[in-house]
Amino acid sequence: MMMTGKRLFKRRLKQHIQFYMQIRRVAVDWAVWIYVLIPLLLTGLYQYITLWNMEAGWATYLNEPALALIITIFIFSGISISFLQSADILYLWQKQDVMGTLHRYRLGYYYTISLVKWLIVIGILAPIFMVYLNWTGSMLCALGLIVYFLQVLVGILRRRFKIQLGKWVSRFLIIGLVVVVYILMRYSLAHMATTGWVLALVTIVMTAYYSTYFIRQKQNFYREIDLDTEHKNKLLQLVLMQSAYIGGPEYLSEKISNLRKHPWLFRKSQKMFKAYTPEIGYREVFIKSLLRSKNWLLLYVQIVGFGVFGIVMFPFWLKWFMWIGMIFLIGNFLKTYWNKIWSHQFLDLVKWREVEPQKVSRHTFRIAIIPASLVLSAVLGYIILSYWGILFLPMIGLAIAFGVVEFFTKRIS
Amino acid sequence: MGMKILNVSIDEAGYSQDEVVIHGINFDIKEGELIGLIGPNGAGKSTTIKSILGTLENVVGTIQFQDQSMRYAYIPEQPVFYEELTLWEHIQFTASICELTEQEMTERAKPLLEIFRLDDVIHQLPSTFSKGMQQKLMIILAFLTKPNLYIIDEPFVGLDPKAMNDFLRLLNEEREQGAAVLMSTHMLDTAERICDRFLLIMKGSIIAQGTLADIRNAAQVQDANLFDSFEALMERT
Repeated sequence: MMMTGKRLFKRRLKQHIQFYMQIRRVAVDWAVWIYVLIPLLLTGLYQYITLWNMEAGWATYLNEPALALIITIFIFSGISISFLQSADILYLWQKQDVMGTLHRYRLGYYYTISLVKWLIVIGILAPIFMVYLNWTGSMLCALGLIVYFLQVLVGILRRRFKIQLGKWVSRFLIIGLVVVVYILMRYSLAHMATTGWVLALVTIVMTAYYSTYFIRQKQNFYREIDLDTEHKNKLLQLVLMQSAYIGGPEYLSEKISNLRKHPWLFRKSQKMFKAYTPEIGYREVFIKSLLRSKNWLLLYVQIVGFGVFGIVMFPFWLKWFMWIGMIFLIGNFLKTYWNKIWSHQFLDLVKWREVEPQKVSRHTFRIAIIPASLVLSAVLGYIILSYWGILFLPMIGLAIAFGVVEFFTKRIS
Repeated sequence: MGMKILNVSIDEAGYSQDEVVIHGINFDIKEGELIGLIGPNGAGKSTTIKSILGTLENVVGTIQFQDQSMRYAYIPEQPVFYEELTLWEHIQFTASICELTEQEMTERAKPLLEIFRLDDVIHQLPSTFSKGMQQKLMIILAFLTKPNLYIIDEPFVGLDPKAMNDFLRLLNEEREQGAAVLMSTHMLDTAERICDRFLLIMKGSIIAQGTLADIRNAAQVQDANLFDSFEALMERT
C-alpha cells in the first residue's frame, strides 16, 4: 500500500499515543489512583463547586497579576512534536509531498491538542473570572481566543528557536518571549473589556500568518528527531524519578551525555566533609551529585516551588496539607535518589567493610531535607503569623522533616 | 605459591533460576598467583566473575575468601563511574569506602596518576574522558585500595601500549607483595606470557585448568602455544 502523508501521520500518532499510555501505566497504578488522584479530583471538584458559589476564600488572593502568571505558564507548557523518526529520513527526502502533508497534519494536531488543553483550563478558570472578577461571557471568549492562538504561536516559535539557533541564544530568546507574553497577558486582563476582541483578532492573524510561513519552511530532520527524543527522555526520566525506584534500565534514567568537563560546583573537587569514612563518603557522593545533577536538582526546586505556590494560594486548611505533603514528597524524593546512588555499579568495584545503609542515609537525608523544610516552613510561618512565624514554624518544620526522614530511612534496605 | 586466598565452588549460576549460564566451576586462587580466565564469547567468563562479585541473582555453591578481612578490587571491561563526580572525587570516595587516611590516599594516588598520565585532568568529569582514560581510572582505583585479590575483566581493551606495560608492571609488584589476580582476557599471547595458571571455560563449564603444560597435556598437543592448545580442546568439546 502506497504510503501517504496522512497514513504516515496516523501511524506515528498511534505510536505517540501508545508511548503516553505506557508512561501512564508505569506512573499511575491503582495505589496512585486511590491515594493521590481520586482524593485530588474530589478535593478539586469540591473547590470548583465552591468557586461557582463564591464560597472559596482562597480565590480572593487570585488577582490579575497572579492569573496572568498562571496563564503565561500554561502558554509555555505546550510541546510541538515532529512525528519524524530516523528511519523516515531517506524516504521523506525523496517524497517531498509526503513530508509536506505530514508537516501540515503535525501543525493541525498541535492546534487540536492545544484547543483541548485550553478548553479544560479555561473551564477551570471560568468561575474565577466570571464570579470573582465579574467578567462577561464575551470577555471570557476573547481571552480564550487570545490565549489559545498565543499558545500555538509560542509553541511553534519555541520549536523554531531550538532548531535554528544555538542553545544559549535560544534560551535567551525564550526568556524574552516569556517576559513579553506575561506583559501582554497583564495588559489583556486589565483591558479586556475595551480591547479584548481587537487583541484576539491581532493574535489570530499573527498565528495564522506564522503557521502558513511555518508550513513552507524546510525541516531539519536530525534536530527535529533530537528534540523529540530529548522530550521523551525527559518525560521518562521524570516518571522514573517520581516513581519509587522500579529497576528500570539505567539508560532511561540517565542523561544522554555530559559535555561539561568540569562540574559547576566544587570545581576543584573540594571535600564537603573532612573525614575519610564510608559513611562520610556516601554522604558526600549523595549531596554533591544531587547538587550537580541538573534534572534532579530542578525536580527538588520544583517540588519546593510548587509547595510555596500552594501554601501562598490555597485556602487555610489546604496550606497545612501542602506544607506537610511537600516535606513528605521531598523525603520520598531523597529516598529515590539514594537508591540511585546505592545501586550504582561503581560500588561493585571494591569489596570492603559493609556499611549500614539506614544509618548513613539518615544523616544524609537530614542535611538534604533542611533547605526544603526551612523554605516551606518560613513561607507558611510568615503567612499565618507574620515575622514571628518565620522564627517559630521552621523549628516545627525541622522536627516534622526529621520524622519524615526517619520514616523513609526505615524503608531502605 | 602462598596460602589460598579464594575458593570458588559453583554448582550452577545464572541471571535467574531458569537461566543457568555456568555450572561445575571449581578452582582456588593462591597468594601471588595470576590466573587467566580464558574462553570464547558467551562461554561464561563474565558470569563467573559476577558470581564472585556477588552481583548475580542465582548462584548455587560457595565463594569463600580465606578470612573475612580479605578484600578484592574489580576492574570491569566497561568503565563505571558516577557521572557527577570528578576523577579526584572518585579517588576520595574509594579511599573513604576503604577507610584510607588522606595521607595514604594522596601517597598512593599521586604516583598512579602520573604513571597513567591523568594528573592534569583530576578535577574533570570522567564522562568526558576517552575509553582508554576511563579504563585507566578503573585501574588506578583498583591499585589505590591494595586488595588481596584483583579481579580483572578484559583489562587491555582501550589501553595504549605504554599503559598496558605499566599496568602489568604494577600488577607484578602487587603479586610480589602477595596479591592474587584473576584475569579474564581474549589476548591469549599476553595471557600465555604472564599467567601462572589458566582456566579454560566453554559452554559454561571448565574444560581444562592448570599450567600451560597441563593444558597441553589435556589437549594432547606437545609444544603448542596456548592458542593452539585451546583450539584443540574446543574442537574436541
